[in-house]
Amino acid sequence: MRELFLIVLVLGAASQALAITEIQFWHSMAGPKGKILDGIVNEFNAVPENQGVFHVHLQYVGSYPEGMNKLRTALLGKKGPAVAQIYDIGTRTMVDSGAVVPLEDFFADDPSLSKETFLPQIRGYYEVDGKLYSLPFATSNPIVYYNAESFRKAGIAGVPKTFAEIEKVALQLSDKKKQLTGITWPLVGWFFEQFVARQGQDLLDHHNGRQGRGVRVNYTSPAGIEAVSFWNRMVKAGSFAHVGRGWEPAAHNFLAGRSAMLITSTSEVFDIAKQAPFEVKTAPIPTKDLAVAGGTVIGGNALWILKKEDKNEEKAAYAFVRYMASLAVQEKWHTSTGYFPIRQDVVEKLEKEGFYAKNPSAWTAIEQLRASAPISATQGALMAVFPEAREHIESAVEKVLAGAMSVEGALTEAKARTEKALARDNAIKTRIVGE
Amino acid sequence: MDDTVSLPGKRVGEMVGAIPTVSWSRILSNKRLWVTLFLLIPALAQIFPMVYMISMSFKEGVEVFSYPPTVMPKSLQLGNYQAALEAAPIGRFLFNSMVAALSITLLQIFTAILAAYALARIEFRGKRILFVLILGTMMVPGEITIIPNYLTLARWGWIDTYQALVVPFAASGFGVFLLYQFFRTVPKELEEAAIVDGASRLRFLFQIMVPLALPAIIAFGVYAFVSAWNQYLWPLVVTQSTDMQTAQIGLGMFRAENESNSWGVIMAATSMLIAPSLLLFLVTQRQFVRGITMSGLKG
Amino acid sequence: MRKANLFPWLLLSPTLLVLGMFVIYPAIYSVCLSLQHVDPFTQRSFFAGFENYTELFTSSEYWESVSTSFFFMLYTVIPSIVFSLLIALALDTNPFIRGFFRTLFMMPVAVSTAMAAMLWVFLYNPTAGYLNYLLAVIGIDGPNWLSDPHWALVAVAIATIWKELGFNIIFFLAGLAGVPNELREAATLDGANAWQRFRHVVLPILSPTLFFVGVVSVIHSFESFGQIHILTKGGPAGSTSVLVYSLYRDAFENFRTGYASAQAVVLFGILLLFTVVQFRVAKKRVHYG
Repeated sequence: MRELFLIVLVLGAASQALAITEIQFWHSMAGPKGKILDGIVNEFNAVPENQGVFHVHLQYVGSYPEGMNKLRTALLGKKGPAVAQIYDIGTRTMVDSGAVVPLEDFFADDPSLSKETFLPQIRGYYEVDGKLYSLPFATSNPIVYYNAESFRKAGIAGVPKTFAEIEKVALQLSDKKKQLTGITWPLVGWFFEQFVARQGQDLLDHHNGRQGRGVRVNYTSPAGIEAVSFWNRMVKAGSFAHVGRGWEPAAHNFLAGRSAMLITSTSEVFDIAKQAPFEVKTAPIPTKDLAVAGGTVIGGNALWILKKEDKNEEKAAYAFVRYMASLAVQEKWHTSTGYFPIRQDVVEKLEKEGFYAKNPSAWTAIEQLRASAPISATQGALMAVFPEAREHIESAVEKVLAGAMSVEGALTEAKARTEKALARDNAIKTRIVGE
Repeated sequence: MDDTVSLPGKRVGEMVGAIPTVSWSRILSNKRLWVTLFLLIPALAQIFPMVYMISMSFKEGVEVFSYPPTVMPKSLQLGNYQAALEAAPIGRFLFNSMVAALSITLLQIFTAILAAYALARIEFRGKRILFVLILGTMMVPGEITIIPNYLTLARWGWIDTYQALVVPFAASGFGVFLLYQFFRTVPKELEEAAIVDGASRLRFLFQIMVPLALPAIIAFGVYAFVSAWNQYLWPLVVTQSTDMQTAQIGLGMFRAENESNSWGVIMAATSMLIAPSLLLFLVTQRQFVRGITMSGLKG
Repeated sequence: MRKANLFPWLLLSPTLLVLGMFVIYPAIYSVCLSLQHVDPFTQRSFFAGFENYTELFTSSEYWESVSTSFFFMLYTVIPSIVFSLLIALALDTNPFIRGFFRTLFMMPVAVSTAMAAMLWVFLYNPTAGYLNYLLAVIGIDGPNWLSDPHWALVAVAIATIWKELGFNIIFFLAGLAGVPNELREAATLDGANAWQRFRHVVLPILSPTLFFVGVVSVIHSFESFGQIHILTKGGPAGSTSVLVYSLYRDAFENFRTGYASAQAVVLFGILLLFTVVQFRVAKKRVHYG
């Protein structure tokens, strides 16, 4: 009888010690990148210190907007993950949600991480009111990919750096009879934003919405007009393959050898090189005037820690996010996907090991990021209505490319529609906070 | 109507004796042949996308984008199928879809039989309003019910369960409407006779009415199954774990947003995800067609 | 008599319970939401009166959506009814090939909307799409289906018709089976030509089927979502942003619960109006045998 009592006692104590904190991590990485993420999460769960303490369940929740929607719905039902991967343009909404714990709040108890661990150009995007809110886990930039064989055949030495030079070369590489075009990129608002930032201009007033909430957008500034005109001139000249919305069609056009250049995210750098049946090289994106300081805005997604009633879950969430930020994971993630290494020490390590000498294509984005001027234009805009704003820009570009509207006319309409959305959102936020 | 009237051709043939000419004119004047030829074009158009899908699923790498596009792949590579199976539990997705769609179908049939019978055959106060109300539910856009329904189910702790996929669709306004149409056509005398014989209404319903309406019920069942199988937005919201995802949601795992996806793999996954529903449909199509033909729809 | 009064309610209770809880209650709930501004995450809200409706009716984008939906209905319902009726008539004359062809025509019905749309994404692909290749073979320079605002709605409509044609064919074949052969023969003997036979013999008997297919097709066309989401995401330049798509975007991407609910209420009104009109017309025109 006593033995039995002891056993029960021991088992009870053991089960208490074994109280494992299980959390959910929601992500939007489909395809091969989802596989890689899966591997990383399994490694986290297998770390000896985490055994019996933390366990992370990985959940694929659909595309970025679908994931965001699912997170919102789950939170309404008081459910949901401890860590969520959210796209760049959801940053303001996440901060406004009041449902997250800023990443920086955890740094006080953890000397191993600080804001300075991360590259300033990258963390800048996720710093809101001076606070780092989330881990910029998968960040990217647009770069130019080019078909080195087409360039050699046409006798072109390297990729041009200005809009005018790109136009000239693109025309040279086009051949209507053979259905060949010089360049393409996806019809996604991101590219408009990048061309504006590259010309050193903010997208939104109040320093891109980083010092107070934005009210006016700068779509019709000279930089905005030039970005769309550049696009439109090439479509009219027949040197740009206008293949429509979404990220895929443009990449397909390039991979099929139909467009000699492609502008898209660095996150594709290894995948494109692997798929292409020709030699691929990369270069920074062009601008109007090289003398004007500007740069690219990082895109991609970040990991957010959600508020939980059980503080153990928040602890587990931070342990996981810290793991995701670790040197080993960042090195693996960067070298297998093409997303940026977000830490300075990863870049240094890889440089020393000669990784970039072997993979010059992966170096382009890092170089471009370093060259970005530290101004609000390259920090990126913060808007709660960003998805809507992007829709307005995409529609405007489509109207221009279809010849239905002038560049100024379409951008003025997009500006008016976006500002209406901003005004409405600001008014609601003020009223709710006021109550 | 008999349209094989080819008398002139035959007579000409006998007179001239030039057999090839004869048979040609005979063939050309055969209306059935023309009808068949006329049908061939849209029929090919209907199956071509699926044939093309299968062909794509065997193409590897950038062969998918070769121009001019080819229907026949260079070789029968099974690599895409292997990659698709490794990337996601396709069998599990299909199983979940099957469980959800079958349960929805059976429940909808059951609830619709009861409701349609009440509306078609029993006089009671408030019937008209109920009929309009039930019909009106067909017009509520599904998108708008999602958030309130999610909140209801979250309160019940049903998220990520089969009940969440099934229960909100256990009844169907369309099903009631369709069976109502059929039940109305069954002669009233039949029922009166049965009730005089001492059969209760429920027994009459299940022993006489339902067997009579079986074709219509099966037709509706196939329709309900196809609609349930097709659902996208709702399963996306209420499923969380990969193990609970349906075929439609699972397909999303193959198509990343921001990438130059491998279309060969996507097409292989699509082929595997389409095959069971296509097979099921081909097997049941006779019943489906017969059901529609015999349901009250013809007037 | 009490029992008789309770019995129908008992039979109706499962249907009423489910529809009441998962369709009617949310519908009423969204009417309430349409009169509020709701914060997306906290769900805190305040009364907005008719602000959402005012914004809706003064929004040029919304009116574009209304007309897009209307054209989408025309582009899908009319061709799909005409083609399926023609095909059904052709099949009806020839019992030998009917079974085989019927199977071919029905196959797309079994393919889910999401997957059907995937197939068409590829057929329309500007780089290696088969459709433009076929057009090029016969000497036509095909349009940029999904990125040209003039063609995108047509492209989505074609994919939709492809998917729904078989369904309509079955209904029409069923309706045609109800036309007594003696009637047609009699008409033939009276010297009626094919058109006259169709107009005066077949059509009146087919009219309930035509009515049913019409109602269902119109409702379907107004509720189309999946294929648009996969093929065009409402673009280019809003040219395929039908009412349901606009609703989806405002509800699930822009998180404007109140505004999206107002759209749902209006959409419900439009569908109701269409159905009532169709029923009215049916009362006058449809010939129930």
